[in-house]
Amino acid sequence: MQEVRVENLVKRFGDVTAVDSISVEVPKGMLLTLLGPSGCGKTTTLNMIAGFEDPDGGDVFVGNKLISSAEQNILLPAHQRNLGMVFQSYGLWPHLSVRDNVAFGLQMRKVPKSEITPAVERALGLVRLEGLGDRYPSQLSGGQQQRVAFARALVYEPDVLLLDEPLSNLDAALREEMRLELKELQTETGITTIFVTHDQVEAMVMSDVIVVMNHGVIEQMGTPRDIYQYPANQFVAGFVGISNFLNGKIAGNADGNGLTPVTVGGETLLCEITGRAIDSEVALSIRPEDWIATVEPPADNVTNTLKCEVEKAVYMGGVLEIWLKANDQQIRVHGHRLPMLESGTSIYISVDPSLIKIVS
Amino acid sequence: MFRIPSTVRLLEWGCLLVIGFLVLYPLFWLLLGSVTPNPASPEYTLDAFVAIYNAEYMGEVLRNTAVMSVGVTVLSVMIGVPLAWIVGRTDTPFKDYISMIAIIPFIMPPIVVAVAWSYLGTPKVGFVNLFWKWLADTKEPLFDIFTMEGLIFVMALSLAPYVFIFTVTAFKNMDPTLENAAHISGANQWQTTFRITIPLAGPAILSGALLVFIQSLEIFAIPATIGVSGGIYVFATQLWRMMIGIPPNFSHAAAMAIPILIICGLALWGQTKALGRSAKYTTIGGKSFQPRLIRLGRLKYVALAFAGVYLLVSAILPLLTLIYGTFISNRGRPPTLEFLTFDHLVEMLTGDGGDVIWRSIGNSLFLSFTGATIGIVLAAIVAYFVVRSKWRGRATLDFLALIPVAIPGAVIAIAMMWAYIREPFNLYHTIWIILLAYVTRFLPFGVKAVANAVTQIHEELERAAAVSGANWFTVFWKVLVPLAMPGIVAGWIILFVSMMRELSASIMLFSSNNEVIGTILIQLYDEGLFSHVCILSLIIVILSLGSVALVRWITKQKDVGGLN
Repeated sequence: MQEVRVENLVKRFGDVTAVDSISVEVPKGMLLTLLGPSGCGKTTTLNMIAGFEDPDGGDVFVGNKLISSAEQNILLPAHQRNLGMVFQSYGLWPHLSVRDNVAFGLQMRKVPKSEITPAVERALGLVRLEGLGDRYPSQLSGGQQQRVAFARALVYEPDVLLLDEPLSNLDAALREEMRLELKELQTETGITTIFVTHDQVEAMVMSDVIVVMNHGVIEQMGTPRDIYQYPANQFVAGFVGISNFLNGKIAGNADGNGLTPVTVGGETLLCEITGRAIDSEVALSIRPEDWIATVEPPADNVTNTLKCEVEKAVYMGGVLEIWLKANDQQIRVHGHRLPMLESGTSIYISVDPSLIKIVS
Repeated sequence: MFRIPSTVRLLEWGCLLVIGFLVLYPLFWLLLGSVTPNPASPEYTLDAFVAIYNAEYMGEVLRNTAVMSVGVTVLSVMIGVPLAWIVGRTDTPFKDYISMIAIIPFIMPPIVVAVAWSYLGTPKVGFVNLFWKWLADTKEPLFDIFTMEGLIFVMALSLAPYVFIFTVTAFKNMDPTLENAAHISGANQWQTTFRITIPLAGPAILSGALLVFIQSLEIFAIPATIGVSGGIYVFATQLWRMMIGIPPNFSHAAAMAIPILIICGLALWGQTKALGRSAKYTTIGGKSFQPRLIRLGRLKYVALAFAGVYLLVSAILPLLTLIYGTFISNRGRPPTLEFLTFDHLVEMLTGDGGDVIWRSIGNSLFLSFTGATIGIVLAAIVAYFVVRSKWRGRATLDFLALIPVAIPGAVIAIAMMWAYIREPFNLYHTIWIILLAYVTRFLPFGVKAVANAVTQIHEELERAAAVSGANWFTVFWKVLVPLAMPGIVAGWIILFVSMMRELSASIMLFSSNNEVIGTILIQLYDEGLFSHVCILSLIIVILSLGSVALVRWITKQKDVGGLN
């Protein structure tokens, strides 16, 4: 097990810079997720770490070993990097049994036969596939194939585990189950892991650290909670979870509680904001679930209450998703314990100042 | 879903009956023929089986056939797999040109390769041996083509492309993740190639090899020229000897055809199985990026040389021989302008033998045109039902239409003879029996061509027409046929060219006045008319080349037609 250090990694495809000077550090035993929409450069980054793409710039270290450096012209081939990888389509060899699939990496490492057999059994036990060693991949369910892929990647105890959207081929229920199982597996083995996904929930559940990428650059790096609660910018706020973006202007100075009034389309919201000049423009982000929606007007002392007209409401099971119009701003709100609302009804929504994020 | 009118069900039954008759009726008579002393006899006996089993020549023919077929299959794999790997997996330069190996069998039919190589490889005056004698300053020839080794060599030259085509497709359709997974597990380039890439292509290689095996039993031209000149008889040529003997021994021929039929049937069954497995191994799943090509370094020149030598001996040298024979005034003269002549051409087409040659060309054109047209109409209907129908009989239809692939031309001919020599047909020694043999033999190729086209047409297009109010026949004629037209035309051309150069069945069924190009070519070859053979072969090559170009052009037009 080793830490991974990626420094100023660059990859160009023709005129397009797919990865634009990415630097990331993954401490020993951590699970770091590269999260972003398709085309953001996350898979390309992973492939450069794995040795499937040649970087146009930058270095990759595993522990103290430099495995790839465009500047020093070092490019260790994939098979000499001692990494484990699970692919989106699993990549199980259809002509080999489960046992032979798992044993392959050990055979390549010239491990004696007498040690391979117990190691393979251990790896299959780790992913709860005892007794299925004689099957062929085509005889397994998607979830089982997935586990074989993990056993194959872990059996030779690689320095780092790379995961390329390994759950995206599973159906929703299984995916949810595998997320937790995977995380447990990773914690149990304590293997340094780099995980690539476009699924924010997956990233939230599994990661120690999330790196949000877009257009080949890092938008934000932090713990799942940081990323969700304190999105660094509008892209992150929009990509991770749902957000209402409101454009406003600073309307005055902070009061005694440190709350600054911001006018948003005629209404005024109190926000925790500092160091902005009066009249300067700000973009606010508020999660739909952070609004509290009521049919009756709330008590007078509740801050940031707006009266809005319902445009449409959709029952989503447990939650009522409501599109509202407050002056000219459209706001999406998740209401709980509300009756079905006709469009045109007036309701009241309020939000705690601490839940209003300033994204620019 | 739209309601299928019952007339469609009738059409399906009709189609099944026609194909069933075409394929099974001759086979039925072949079986019966093997237990009947002659076509007119009402008795049943196993004499024919006993006789050929005890025949003196049998041991030798069996041995020759086994050695030849196995040798050809092994050599074809040894040529085809490396070529496929070079094209599909490495950074060898000029790969587009090397890929042309795939169309060699179409441009250079066995008969052309056979005659060209018998002129190239004769010990005394073969061009390759002459060159060797000059190069090494010796009187000893490099090799004698009229031997078992020569026979295997020329056959493999002709058939290796089948292994190449199947294998290169498997290499190209392989999920690159499978190789990447091996790399990341610690396997280097060569370990990955031998433990992952080639085993994954295994079923494809096997299916190509089995097809070569079937073809090696079926091809007549090469054993009839190179084999017979060397006194080597195999199944195909032995059958021919029985049929043209005086008196012809029809029942022995039928008895001998049956074991070949069984062997070919088994091989075809194995081939279909292998192909199914191959599809399982090489279907790309999920998104993938292009596999990295293996950088061969200096080895790429070795790879290039290997491919170059193959192209040279399988196509370039034979072609040069044909051109030489056509335009140089005397065999043995250096190919300079001084000896350039058109006399051969003029003489052959206007001289004493000219009539027969013109007649054979006319017959071949008539047979090919009529045969391809009948064949493609049948094939189109069969292909439609096989691909689209939900009818239970479609599997039977599919199977029936595939059977002829496993029947060597000579065997079809014998079966045809037994079936159509009698009432109510009386077709023996007429041109119509040849036509029937052609249509039956090549039906599977037509079905394949049209089925590919129909598969590519989205069923929604038909359903959309049906929903808009068109009945089944309107949908068929106004939507399906126009959309499948490129496939239908390509199929027609494939049938036409295959029939133009057919030999295995024609040689058994032709009669005076009903000669075809192939039979005349063999006759000219036997008479030792070097330049005539070259001219006729060159005509076949030019015709084939033109057809390949035409098919390519048509299938390219398809994209413009909005099929995809």
